[in-house]
Amino acid sequence: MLKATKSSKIAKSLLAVSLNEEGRVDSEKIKQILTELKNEPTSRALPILRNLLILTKQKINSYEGCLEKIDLNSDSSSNLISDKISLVRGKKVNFIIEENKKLIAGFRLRIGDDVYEDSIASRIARLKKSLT
Amino acid sequence: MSSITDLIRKEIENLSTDATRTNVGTISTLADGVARVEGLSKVMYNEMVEFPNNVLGIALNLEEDSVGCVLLGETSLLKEGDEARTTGKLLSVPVGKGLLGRVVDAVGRPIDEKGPIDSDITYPVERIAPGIIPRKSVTQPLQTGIMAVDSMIPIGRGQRELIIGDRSTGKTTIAIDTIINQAKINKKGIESGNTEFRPVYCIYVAVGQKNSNVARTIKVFEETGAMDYVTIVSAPAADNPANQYLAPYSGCAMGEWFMENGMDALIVYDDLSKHAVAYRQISLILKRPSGREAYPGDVFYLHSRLLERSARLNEHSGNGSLTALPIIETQMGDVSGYIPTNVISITDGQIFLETDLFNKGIRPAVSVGLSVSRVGSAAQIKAYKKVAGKVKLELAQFRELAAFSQFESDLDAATKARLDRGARIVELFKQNAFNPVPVEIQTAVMWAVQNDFFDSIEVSKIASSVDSLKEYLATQGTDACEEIQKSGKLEKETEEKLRSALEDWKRTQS
Repeated sequence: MLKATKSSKIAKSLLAVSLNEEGRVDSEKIKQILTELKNEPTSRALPILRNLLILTKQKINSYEGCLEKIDLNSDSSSNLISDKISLVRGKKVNFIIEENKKLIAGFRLRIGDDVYEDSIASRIARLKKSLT
Repeated sequence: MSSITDLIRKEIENLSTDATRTNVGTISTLADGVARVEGLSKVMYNEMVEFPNNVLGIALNLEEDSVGCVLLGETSLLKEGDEARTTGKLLSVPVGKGLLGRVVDAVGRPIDEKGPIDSDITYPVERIAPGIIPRKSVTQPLQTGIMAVDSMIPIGRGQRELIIGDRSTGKTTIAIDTIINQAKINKKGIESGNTEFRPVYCIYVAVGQKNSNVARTIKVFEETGAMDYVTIVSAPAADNPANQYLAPYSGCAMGEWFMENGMDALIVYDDLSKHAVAYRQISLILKRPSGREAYPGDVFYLHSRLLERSARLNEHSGNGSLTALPIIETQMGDVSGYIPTNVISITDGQIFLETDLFNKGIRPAVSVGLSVSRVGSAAQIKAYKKVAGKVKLELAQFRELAAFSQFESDLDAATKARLDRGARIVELFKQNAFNPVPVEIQTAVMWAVQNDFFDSIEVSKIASSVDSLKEYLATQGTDACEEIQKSGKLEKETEEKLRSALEDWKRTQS
């Protein structure tokens, strides 16, 4: 079994080589890495793959967000949010837009571990918390 | 009705309408009161983490790809995949005089069904201990009301004195007696109208104890009228280990409020052995490397950072104090165990209770040889220092001679006298539970021993004679005791009054 620190170092190096010129994960390069790792014994490949999965997720989450809205048709607000967020984070952020009726109104944006929220549901939750 | 609507309206007006930014993560594993969360990249060490259904957790393990959180609430309400979010706050508990007379849990929530806590101030449970500059040496006595302790192992305000012994040797009783005595002194002091009187407020932290024991302790406090000056922090055996781990720190934060506001407080940690066990459980679940007896490497720091928070502050820092009485349970009288030696080295002395003495009927079963107070007579009033200065030595000599004399039938007069005196002192120190004695009466009784008033009384009758003397001094021979109480000194005139009172008492005995 490969030591945790060593597998983590190898995974970091593999992630570095799988990035394109824009610093984003290149799916073709990842596929090549996975093909190569198939030849390695499982005890060696498994910890590297686990670490690579975590690091890749983190990397993708840094430039790809999930925007939840109640109405998928209003594009103007999505563009406005995208521009503002790209300005705040200093790089272009792509969104996957999802419908969430529970918000009542407003939006909820998740990029990596950060959640930006301005919705009626969150305001009601805050009011509930302050009253209890 | 209108006040409720006003309150809601006010809350709505104050509600921020800005977009919020939070840092979130997802529960990946959940077991034994510990959640491993993926994400939470901006979480701080010891930060409160919010889970669904109002469950709170504390971030204790910050790893590269996950965070280990101990959960403080009902863990059955959570499941894998639930979202956790940072709060930006350290765990805090309510503090202040509103907590007196209340029973709270490890996070300061009331569990006594007496309504909400009347306090709007909170202190974080983890705080840095006072440094060197704001501290002052311990000089003011903290009377326990137990003759064996106050005479031989005096405790001062701001001191950390460990109570150590096997199970059922009277450790908790000493702590409870001390609290009851503080309440008695407080009542008397407040009634006297003396503006310089400084009451001692008490906090009793019950860690890993049976609920029935905690209920019994509360009942004792209520029956003796001590509850008005006591806060009980309870994390019983049925509570999760995270609460048991936190309870002493929460209690300490409550005590620190008194200390930092120029008041005196006493905190009892009952007991730190169970606290260490709870911490070991958390550490093992968090997969921290284990060391001796499977305790984690930082188990010394666990107790040192807690006990260092007890201090006596100087005048510039408010002149407050926090005295700590931690309790440790030993196994088969072994004080060389891992946790006992750790806590012995941190504290300013220990009261060691022996099973053999307890079984012989010598209660409190204080072992003179193994007990010590590093503050010493600096924490005694002058009058008591004068009469009790030699007692410890006399008793230690008695124990040695008593063991030796078993092999010797013909003893010289000096040895016989020492044995006689020792046997009388042993009887004198026997004291019933929950029956603390005021310091002025203790001084008078000790003076009587030093001046041979008990020499003519049979050893078997000493205990009953002492009880009768205490009663006499509390009801009839009050003049001398009042003088000792007021001045704290034993002047020649006072000694004369005491002699005359004792002679009167002696006549009633014959």
